[in-house]
Amino acid sequence: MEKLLEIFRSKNAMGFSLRFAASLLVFWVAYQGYLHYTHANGELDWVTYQVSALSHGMATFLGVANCQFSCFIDGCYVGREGKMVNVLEGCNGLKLGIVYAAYLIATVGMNKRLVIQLVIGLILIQLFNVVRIGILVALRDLGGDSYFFFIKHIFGVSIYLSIIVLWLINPIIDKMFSHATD
Amino acid sequence: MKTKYLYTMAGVLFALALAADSPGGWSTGTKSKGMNGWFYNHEMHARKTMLLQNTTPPDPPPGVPLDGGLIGLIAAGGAVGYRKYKAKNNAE
Repeated sequence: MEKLLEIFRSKNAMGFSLRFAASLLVFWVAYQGYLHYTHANGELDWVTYQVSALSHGMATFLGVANCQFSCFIDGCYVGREGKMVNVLEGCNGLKLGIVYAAYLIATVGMNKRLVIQLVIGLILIQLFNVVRIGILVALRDLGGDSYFFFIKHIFGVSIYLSIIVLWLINPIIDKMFSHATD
Repeated sequence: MKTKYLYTMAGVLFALALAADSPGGWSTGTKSKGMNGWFYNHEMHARKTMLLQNTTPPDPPPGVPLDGGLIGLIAAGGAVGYRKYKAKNNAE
């Protein structure tokens, strides 16, 4: 057990892998527990609801006329009647946020800089997601094949790539924060 | 005379009751129970099917999932971190 803790704390590849896996597991279990709790209470989870509500606002801002918004236990419908999109739990971007946060915890470690980076990163991911769903609602309203092209290729690739870029530039951001806090 | 009418009526009612309770639709050749098949033809069946199809709730709208490549992202995170720490250890 002590040896495991030693590896866990060590600043090498093995230690990183262990911290990354452990953080993922802790966040995953907590999130699944929260989902289980909300479903048991017959409610939709708060994140999916907020993302849907903000996406509805974004779609209205983008000019979708008569944009409606209704929520059920498994998700929300956003868009014009007959041309809606279904915002389910898997669309709320929180799972991506969990992977992003687990990486940061494994590399930066638990400190003040991590909290600031986490908050900014998670807000960026959710902002991107809200803009993405808003544009998808607008594209579905316009009709044509562009909706399927954007959902399949453009948005998926760009959000995953942006998270990897955030990880890669993490040392630069970390340095900036350490200069600012010193 | 009255009793004759009464017997005839009773006979007809008894026959109808038997027909209503019969297991197969002997009069129409359908497999429905009793008299159900008497008032049920192919045209009505087609109309009922059409009505059912029209009243079936529509499919839910398409979803906008984002967690399709989650395993890939976890693998990428592991690879980026592993590479980073390995390079760091080699430098030391």
